[in-house]
Amino acid sequence: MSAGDNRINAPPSAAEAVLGLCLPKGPVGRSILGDLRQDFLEHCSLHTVQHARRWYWKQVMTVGGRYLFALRLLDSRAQSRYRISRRRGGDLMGSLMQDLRYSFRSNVKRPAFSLMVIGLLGIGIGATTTIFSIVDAVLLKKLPYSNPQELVYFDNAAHSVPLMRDWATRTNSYSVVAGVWDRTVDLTNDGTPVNVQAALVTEDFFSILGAVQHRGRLLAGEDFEGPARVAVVSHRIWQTRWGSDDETIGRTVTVGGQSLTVVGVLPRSFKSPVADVGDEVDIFVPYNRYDDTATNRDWYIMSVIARLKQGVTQEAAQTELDALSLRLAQEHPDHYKRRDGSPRMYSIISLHDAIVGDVRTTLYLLLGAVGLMLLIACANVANLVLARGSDREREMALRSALGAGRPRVVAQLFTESVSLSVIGGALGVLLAYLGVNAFEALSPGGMPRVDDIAVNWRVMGFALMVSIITGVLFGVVPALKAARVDVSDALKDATGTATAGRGRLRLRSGLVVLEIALALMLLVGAGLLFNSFVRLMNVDPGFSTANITVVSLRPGPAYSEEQRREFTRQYLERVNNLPGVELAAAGVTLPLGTTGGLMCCWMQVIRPPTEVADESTEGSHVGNPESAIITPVTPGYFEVLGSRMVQGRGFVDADEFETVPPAVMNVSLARRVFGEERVVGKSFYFGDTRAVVVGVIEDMRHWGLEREDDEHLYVPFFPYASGHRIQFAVKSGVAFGPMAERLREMLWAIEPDLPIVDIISYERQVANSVAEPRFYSALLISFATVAVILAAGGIYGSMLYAVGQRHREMGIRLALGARGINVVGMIVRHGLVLTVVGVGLGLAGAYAVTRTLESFLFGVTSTDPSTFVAVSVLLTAVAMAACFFPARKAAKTDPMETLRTE
Amino acid sequence: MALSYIGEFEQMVLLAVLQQGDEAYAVEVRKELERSAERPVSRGALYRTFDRLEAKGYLAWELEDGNPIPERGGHPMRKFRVTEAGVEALRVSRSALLKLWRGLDTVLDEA
Repeated sequence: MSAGDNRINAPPSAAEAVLGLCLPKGPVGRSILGDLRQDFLEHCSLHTVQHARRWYWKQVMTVGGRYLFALRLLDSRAQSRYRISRRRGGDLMGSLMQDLRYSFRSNVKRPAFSLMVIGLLGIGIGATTTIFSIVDAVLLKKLPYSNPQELVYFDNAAHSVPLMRDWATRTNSYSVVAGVWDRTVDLTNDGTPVNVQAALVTEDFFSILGAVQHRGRLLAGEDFEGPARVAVVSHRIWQTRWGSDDETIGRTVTVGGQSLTVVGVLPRSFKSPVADVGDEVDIFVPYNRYDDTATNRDWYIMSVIARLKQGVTQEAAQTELDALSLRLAQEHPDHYKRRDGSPRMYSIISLHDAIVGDVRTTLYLLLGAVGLMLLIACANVANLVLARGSDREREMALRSALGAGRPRVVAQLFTESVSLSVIGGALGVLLAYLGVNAFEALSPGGMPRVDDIAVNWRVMGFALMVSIITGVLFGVVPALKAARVDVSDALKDATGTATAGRGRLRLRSGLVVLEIALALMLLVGAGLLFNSFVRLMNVDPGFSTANITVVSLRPGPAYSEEQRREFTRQYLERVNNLPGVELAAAGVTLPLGTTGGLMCCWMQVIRPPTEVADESTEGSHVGNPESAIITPVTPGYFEVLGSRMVQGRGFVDADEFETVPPAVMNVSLARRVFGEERVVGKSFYFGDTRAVVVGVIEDMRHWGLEREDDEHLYVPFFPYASGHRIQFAVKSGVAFGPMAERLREMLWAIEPDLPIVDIISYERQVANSVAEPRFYSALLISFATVAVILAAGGIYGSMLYAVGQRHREMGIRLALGARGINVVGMIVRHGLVLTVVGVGLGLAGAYAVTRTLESFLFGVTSTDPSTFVAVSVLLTAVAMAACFFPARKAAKTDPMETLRTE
Repeated sequence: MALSYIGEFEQMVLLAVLQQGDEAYAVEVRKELERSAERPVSRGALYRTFDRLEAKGYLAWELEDGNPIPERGGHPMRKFRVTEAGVEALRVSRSALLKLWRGLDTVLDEA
């Protein structure tokens, strides 16, 4: 074969390239490549070129593979030589791998220690991650609308349509303004009748949110002219009620008595932004722009959202809105001036804030609480690491003596602590999965966006970050300590060294103090919430719940006004005749009877007659209109509830036939409207109706035990109960179970097709109304309990360690005649000092931060002295108990044994 | 200095390098091994053994890149040399083996 042919017969270039990558860089690798090329040519001359090529590939596997495998995994000697020729980065990586392998071995060697650390960190990180996943979903995740940061909400509930139009037309801040009016309606005429959330929406509702239809179309301009004929439905109801059937488009449904044609389905991701928490709007109906309510400034119906124009800040929009509010108060003093003559001001908040509401503070509070818990767990782990320290100290000293630099030793210790904390973090993520599910199952509702809560990648990233920070936190003290070790001291037989022990002891004492301080802070928070909850439960609501059963009904529009009235009358009569029933009455709502914001009552302007006679009166402070919540109730309503009549009387059967209807005001309303002592017999207008006051009833807490009553006007149930909601209160001497059964049977005997919303004992209903404070205080109490257990464990471990350190001292003392009790006292005294310092610091810390709790507290201040004292005493007692057992152990030291070893 | 133990293949490689004298290039050493041992030698094993012997200080090499031959694609050639320590290790190994061989010739000849 000629030399020219040789050139053609080169080994496959890809194979040579691969081999080049596997071989060491430099002359060794290149010479091997040369050898193989030479061999390749020899193969070519003996066999075919194809054969030689195949052979060459085989060499790539054997020679290259051998180098690759040997260098990376097996032959550490060659590896170190190999590494010399590489960059320093490779060296760092290698030592990290070495550290990891070493920490793995070192942690496996001490399984009890490692499991304890992992468990402690798992609990801490798990709790933190759980709360973070809630924070992430509720607070951090963007709202699912286009450019959500531009969306604002007109605060404080519903507004009238004319006011909404003023905002849209008389300002320059918004590109779009839209309104939505949520109602619960019956969906009939198509399968079983059900109650659904429906929303009347204005023209720009979907466009402002950037919604796109999933099927059919959204609402268009002409849909809003005249009574509604069409509807758009949610993905959820499309799926559950109509089985995702495309034929749904064009179907006619009866919503709240109106026949509507379904024209579109919304995507799964779309949610109405202003629906009540836990409720999802299923049917969207166009709001007739010529509706009677559209020109009435007394109908507060629309929740209003707007999109800020590009470049307009919320502050600028607010300034413009304030100016408009002042002008409106001039133009419509009846509507936009308060009783004291000041103009009604409105504010805008970001839509995100509107949806999230008060939950933000709650969540940050919980996050703070679990953060404290995590810190305590960290301190505990640091304590454990220190306790394990003396043998590690010798090991580290040995490593130093053998040439490991301080950075290397510190890096090794950090690798150990971070690898443990990352495993703890993995456990934490598992616990967070459970925690999130538990939270969803147990939370009392009221948490917005709860469906979005999930342990996702962001949450896992958070957990990883927390794990690493945690590892560094609990690793830093022992690591620095180890790096400062005096090699010669530590290498001597160290069983008797007291000096190293002393420094360590101080450090451990510091950690115990920290744990106690943090636990106390948590405990103060939990104590304040508990205290506040107890006070809430002891509030006088202005009515009694004892032995009352509540029946809630919602006869839909299928029932005429007359039918509903007749049915109510008949049912009340029969129930009142039931054996065991003391009294039954009904109203559109009972105090604390509405949970979840169901519409029950309406607001109307109350005016004294003088005001009506002279409408042009302006600036007069006396007799200005006052809005009140109109609540129609039957005779016996106040009596069943055991409320106190302050003046006059309650309703009687004859009241419904009076030409000038009698009315009962609550104390707040009577004081506001008349401001006088005696108001019975005075007449006034509510809306256009002239009425006369027959009684004044004490205020009842309608909207929450923590909320003072609003101005309420009670009117006869007949004929004013025009809503579709009735609540019966039945007071009886019969137990709830059998009573509920009888009430249900009796209802079905009269109206077999009427769905019962709820039969519940009134006590239970009221308890439900405080489910949220109860849940959050329970949550915080459980965090605090874990914190106290951790802190107690910390002090126990620390004392045990101290006793071990001072074993000989104890023995000598006992041998010299000290009594056991003295030794116990000595140890407990030491513990007491730590506890007192910890409690002192904790009190100061708690004093500084409990302010944030203020909005959650009811009837207690955030610096309530009794709570501070009580939790300090409690924690001190727990800490003393934790000291006692190690102390007793010390007292039982056998002096002879000690002296023998001396 | 205590000499570390050398394995059979390491011994063979050292001897083959010595046999080749001034021509102890990897390709020639391999051929020599295959000739004497009458079996193919894996190049991967050979190169790793070179490395190992070098790490033990028994083998050294120098580059011959004065006039690269075209068959090697311009790559340099390593010429191996057994070090003093290598020779000493072979000597120790041989004397240990010889002691063990003593008096066993008849048994092994029969086998």
